[in-house]
Amino acid sequence: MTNALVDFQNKLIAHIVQPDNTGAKLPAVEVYKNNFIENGIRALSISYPTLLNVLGESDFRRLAASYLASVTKIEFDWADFGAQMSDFILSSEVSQDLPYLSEIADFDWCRQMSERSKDTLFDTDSFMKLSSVAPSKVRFKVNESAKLVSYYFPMPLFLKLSTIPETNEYMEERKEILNALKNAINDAINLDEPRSYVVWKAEYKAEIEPIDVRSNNAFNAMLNRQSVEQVLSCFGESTEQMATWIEDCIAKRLICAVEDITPC
Amino acid sequence: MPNPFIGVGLRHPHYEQSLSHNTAETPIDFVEIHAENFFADGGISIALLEDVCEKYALSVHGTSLGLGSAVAVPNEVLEKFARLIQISQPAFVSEHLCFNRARLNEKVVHTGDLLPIPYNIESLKNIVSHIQQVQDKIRRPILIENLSAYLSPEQISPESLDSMSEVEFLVEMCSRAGCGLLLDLNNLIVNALNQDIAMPIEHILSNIRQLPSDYVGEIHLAGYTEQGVNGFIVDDHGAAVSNQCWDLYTETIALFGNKPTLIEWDTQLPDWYELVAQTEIARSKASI
Repeated sequence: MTNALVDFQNKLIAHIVQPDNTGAKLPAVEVYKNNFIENGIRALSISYPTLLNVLGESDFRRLAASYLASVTKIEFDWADFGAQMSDFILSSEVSQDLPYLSEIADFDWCRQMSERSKDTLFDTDSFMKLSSVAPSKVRFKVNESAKLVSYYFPMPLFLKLSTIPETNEYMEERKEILNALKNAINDAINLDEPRSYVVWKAEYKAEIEPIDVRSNNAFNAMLNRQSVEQVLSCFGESTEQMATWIEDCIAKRLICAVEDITPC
Repeated sequence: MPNPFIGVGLRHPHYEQSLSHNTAETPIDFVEIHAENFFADGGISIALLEDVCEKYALSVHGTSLGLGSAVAVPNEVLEKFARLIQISQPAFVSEHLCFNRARLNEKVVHTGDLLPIPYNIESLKNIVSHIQQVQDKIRRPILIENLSAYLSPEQISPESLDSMSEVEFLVEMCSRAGCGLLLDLNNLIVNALNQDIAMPIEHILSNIRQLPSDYVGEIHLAGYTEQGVNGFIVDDHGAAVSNQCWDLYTETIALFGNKPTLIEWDTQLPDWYELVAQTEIARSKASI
């Protein structure tokens, strides 16, 4: 490769993505700079819908533009750009006034990753193994989109608020959620430990549900590909809770199959 | 392939209407998707792709490979592109005459835009090798779309001089790489207007006449928003096909015969039926 071609491409890219680069003072470079910023803001608004809803458009644009100026885009697909938003917010001043923003960003990214992840086939017949094979010889196959997360702030409420239209018709409903949010935010500040949630997609949309300590341990065991026997042992004597939880996980497609454990 | 063969760019807000569209009443011969929107491992886009492929012939239009970049396309990205081609078996596969990434502070930065390349031998060899890399991977020829550009490389780097015209570059590229050309008429118009060329349509036609008809595999038609940025008309695909573009289309198909033709409308999207109405205009012009 000749130096001339490389030199031109390096220079133009630097002019476009470096905010303090004057771009040889060419109006045309400003067109490309503007494209880069607008495309970036649009992409981030798609990846961070809850954050956009909480911040409002103009504050979100400021945050997104600032992120674009700080984080180098190396991804081919705009949908893959933005993974560091939560950390970026945490290190910025805005986090002091709005401490929940970083968690909302993490939650949005987690939902997007879940929705774009590989679809898991639900294998109904495989559940017969639960009655025909020893629980130490089989394991649950978890939905590949599922992830355990923990947040101090009430992500399900933030999500719910972001999905309700800001019209007169829904005014009361929004007011109720806003009140609940206000209380939950106050509670969160006094929490010693964050709450655990599971995020997954049953069909196409990512969902979030709180999860208690036992269920969290059992889910972790499943994610670590432990046997059904080990997963069930997380519930100790609480067999009723265990049965309900397993049924619920299957109904919600968090568990998609039962598979044999093959020795290594 | 029916003649004429007219399609639309399929964008997210129109997914549902496109699938319920009555093609017997108002034909749409193919739809174009942007490859990157279907790069995810799973999810709704992949499910939708299956439905779209059942109903329409498909054109897969890449917007991120940047084949004119001095740095090569990473294998993992090429794999995703190839997988999409394999599962969707499109009628057309296309990319752009552009670069989009370069090394900056030890990282390869990707702008996500379509940036111009110089028309010289070094640049030609570079893009030809990258086109061949893609064609080898997907085992079929691709079409390369001419670009709308707001600057010439020598304005940034004086050594990046053009040594041939855009048309000469395109012809040589197709000849060497074995690829075809996706002739974007709106891009030619935007370039001519931004360069203040007198009698732009005549100027463009004189260039188009130099293209071998066999190289032209598809035509893109689009409009642009009049409101410019920094004095430039921006190729935003944000309006109905312009009158100039329709005139140029009429002349182009008179020259080359009918070619598969796509209506591109990407920003400030209209109602689905307005988009479909644009295909009807194209069909009427191609049926004369």
